[in-house]
Amino acid sequence: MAFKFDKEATLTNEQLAGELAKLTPLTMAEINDLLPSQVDKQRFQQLLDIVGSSAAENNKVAQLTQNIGEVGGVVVRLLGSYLKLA
Amino acid sequence: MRYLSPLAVCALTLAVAACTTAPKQTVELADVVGQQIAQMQASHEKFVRLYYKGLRQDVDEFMQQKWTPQFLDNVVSGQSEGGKEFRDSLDRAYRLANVDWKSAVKIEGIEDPEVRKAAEQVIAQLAIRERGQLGQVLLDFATEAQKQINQQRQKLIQPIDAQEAYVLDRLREGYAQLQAGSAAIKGYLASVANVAEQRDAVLQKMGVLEAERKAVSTAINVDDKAMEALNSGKTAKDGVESFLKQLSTLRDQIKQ
Repeated sequence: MAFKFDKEATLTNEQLAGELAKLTPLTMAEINDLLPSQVDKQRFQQLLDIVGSSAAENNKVAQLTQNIGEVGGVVVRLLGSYLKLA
Repeated sequence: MRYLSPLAVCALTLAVAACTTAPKQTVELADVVGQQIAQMQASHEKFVRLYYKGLRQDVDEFMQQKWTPQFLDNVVSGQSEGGKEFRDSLDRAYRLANVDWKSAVKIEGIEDPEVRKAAEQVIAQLAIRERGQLGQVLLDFATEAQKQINQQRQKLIQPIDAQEAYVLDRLREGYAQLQAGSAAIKGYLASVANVAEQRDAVLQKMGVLEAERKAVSTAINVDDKAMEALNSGKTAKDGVESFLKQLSTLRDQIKQ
C-alpha cells in the first residue's frame, strides 16, 4: 500500500505561503542591478586585438633593434676596412 | 657607400624605437594589478557563496522547524485523501496488531494435540503478520512523507542554486574580461619597455663602437702620415727624423 501526500504538501504550502515568499532568492531585476553591466564583447575583442597587434609590432622592433645591436661590431669592422682601402 | 646601408637601418630602427617609451615599473604595476584582480575575484566569489549558503541554511531551518511539522500534522490529522487513507490503514493495522488472537480464537475445545498445535502456530503467524502490517503502514508513511519533504526542499533550494550559478558565471565572465584587458595592457607595456631597453642597449653599444671607429681611423691616419714623413726626407736620416717627429705628434693624437 503506497500513500500519496501531494494534497497535504499543497495544503502546507498554502498555510505557510507568507513565510515561503521570504525564502525566495533575489529577483532577476535585483540581480542585474547588482551585477556590473556587460561590455560589448565585439568591441572589447577589437580593442584587445588592436592592443595585442601594437604589442607584437613593438616586440618586432625590439627584436630588430637587438639584432642590429649584435651586428654593430661587424658594421664598424666593415667601416674600418673601407677606410683602410680608401 | 655599402656600409651606409646597415647604419641607415640602425638609425631608422632607433628612430622608430625612440617613439615609444615606458619605465619597467609599468609592467610590474600591471602585474600587481593583475594579481589584485585575481584576489578581488576570489573574494567576490566567496561573498556570493556565503550569501547563497545562508539562504540554503534558512531553507533547511524553515523545513525542519515549520514546514515538516505542519505537513505531518496535515497528514496525521487526515484532512485530505492521503492522510485519511493513512489514518484508516494505521488505525486498522494498530487494532489488529494488538489483538490477543489466542483469546479471540477459542482453541481450548480442540482435543487433538496436533490440531491444537497447528492452530496455535497459525495464531502466532497471524499475530506476526498483523504487527508486520502495522510496521509496513508506518514504513509507507515514512517513505511518502520523506519524499514530499525532499521535493519541497528541492523546490526551494533549486532556484537558489540556479541563481548562485548564474551570478558566479556572470562574475567570472566579467573578471575574465578584466584579466584579458589587463593582460593585453601589460603585454603592450612590456613590449614598450622592451623596445626602450633594446634601444638603450644599442645606443650604449653604438657609443663604444663609435670610439672604436675613431681609434681605427686615427691609426690609419698615423700609418699614412708616418709613411709620408719617411718618404719625404732628402736623406735617410732626414726621413727617419721626420718619421719619428710625425710619429710622436700622432701618438699624442691617439692618446686623445
